[in-house]
Amino acid sequence: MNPEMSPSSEVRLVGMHCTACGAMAYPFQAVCPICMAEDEVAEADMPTTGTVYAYSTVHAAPKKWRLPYTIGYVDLSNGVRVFSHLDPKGLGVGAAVYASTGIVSGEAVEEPRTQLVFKAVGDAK
Amino acid sequence: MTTGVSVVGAGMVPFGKFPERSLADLAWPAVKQALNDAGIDPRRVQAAFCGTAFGGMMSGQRILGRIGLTGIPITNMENACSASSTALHHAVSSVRSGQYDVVLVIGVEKLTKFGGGTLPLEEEDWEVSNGMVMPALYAMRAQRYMHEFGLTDRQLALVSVKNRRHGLLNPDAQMRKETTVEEVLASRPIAEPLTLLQCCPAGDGAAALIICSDKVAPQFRTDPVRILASDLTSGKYTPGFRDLTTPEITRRGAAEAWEHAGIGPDAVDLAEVHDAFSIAELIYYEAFDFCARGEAGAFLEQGHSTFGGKVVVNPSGGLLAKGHPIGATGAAQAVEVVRQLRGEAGERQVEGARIGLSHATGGGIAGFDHGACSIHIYAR
Repeated sequence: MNPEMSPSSEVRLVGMHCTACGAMAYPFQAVCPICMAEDEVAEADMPTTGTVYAYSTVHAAPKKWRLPYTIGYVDLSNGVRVFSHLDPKGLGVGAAVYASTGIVSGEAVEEPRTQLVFKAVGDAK
Repeated sequence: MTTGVSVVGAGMVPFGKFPERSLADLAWPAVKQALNDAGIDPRRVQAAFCGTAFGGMMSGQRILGRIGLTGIPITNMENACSASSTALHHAVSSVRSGQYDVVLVIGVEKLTKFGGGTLPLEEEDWEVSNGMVMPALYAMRAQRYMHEFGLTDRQLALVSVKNRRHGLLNPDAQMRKETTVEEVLASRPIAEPLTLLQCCPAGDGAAALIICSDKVAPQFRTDPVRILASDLTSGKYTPGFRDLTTPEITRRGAAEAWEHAGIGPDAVDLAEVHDAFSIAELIYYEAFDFCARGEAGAFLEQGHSTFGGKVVVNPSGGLLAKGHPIGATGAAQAVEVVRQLRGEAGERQVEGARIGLSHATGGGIAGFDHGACSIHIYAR
């Protein structure tokens, strides 16, 4: 487990809400991918918990990543699917997860950035 | 007014690793082979469509410049792994509409220029910039399919075993060595649950086809292979939930192709489908209705998708064994179908083959099942 990963209650998932057609998406984008609206599109906080649809631990990838790493799809209660890194601890299909952060990029990146990492709810503490 | 369209020439170079060869020098031998196969005067070719994903600017001109086949409209087409099946689709459309009588299709790729590793995807894409690689996308399909339908590791590995066995019989295949379920499962993990031998190899290759109207086909060959359907579609973007266990784009494309061809899955003798990873072939059995939902593992295990079965899937060895120089794949699948329908497939001949199908999908971007899918159905 990467020691950099720590639970955080301050993670926000800023997505898009289109008041013209009701569509929601993550991450935010300035035009609605369903109805092309621009003026009716606003930033919206997504739920920060969800369930794991599928995931994979990756052993071959471009150099910027620290191998192995785990990525997957998290389904939120508002119908939005989020692609994200995941902490493999306690993970399974259908597992409840919450949004946290971690550093997953490797030494090839000069300034490794903290980014979104979902963790299994049972492993919160 | 539309006309019937046939393939009268097919050629390809054996797939493999040829880092010392330029893209142009990889491809022109395939073009000459297709021209010779059709017995056609090169001056009869009115237009060329060249599919490649990473070939770079003017790939078609660079290839045809080598052999003096220039001064005609040459269109280069990029659609990821369905680049040359997209080129084939547009070539067929141009003939069907009466614009041309004779056109050339080229598919080409040189992946060794990247020096190995996973396919370089577009970093501008949200998922790619956050760590998505092609094996992981298919690995998630596999995981979810196993979760929902009880597919086993062994059944998954059996796809590679079958296609390696087929590839052994194909002189143009990159991987010509049999393997076992144990060996597949023991190979190193790439994206769990997929292991190395469940991933198509990176390589180089080229394939070419001569497509013509029914009006002129008898001038070249007595055994033209008729194209009954030529379908191209894109995926439907969704920011929400998608079912990774069934390929929406292929299912939709297949329905359109069956309708155009006027036949159904029962009529197909052989199918070259996009088995970039083991799980993909299983999902496509179901998308083409060769078997019911959730039954792909058993369908494979019972031998229904190999020689002597209901439909021989990937007699060439498929992407897993023949190789997957991505832009070359669609054209190479068509070459295999043509050879099978003519009875020229040697040791891997599907006995009495009358109807064939080819299917290539291109992906690697967020929000789509796949970005592109092209399906062709052929008859002798």
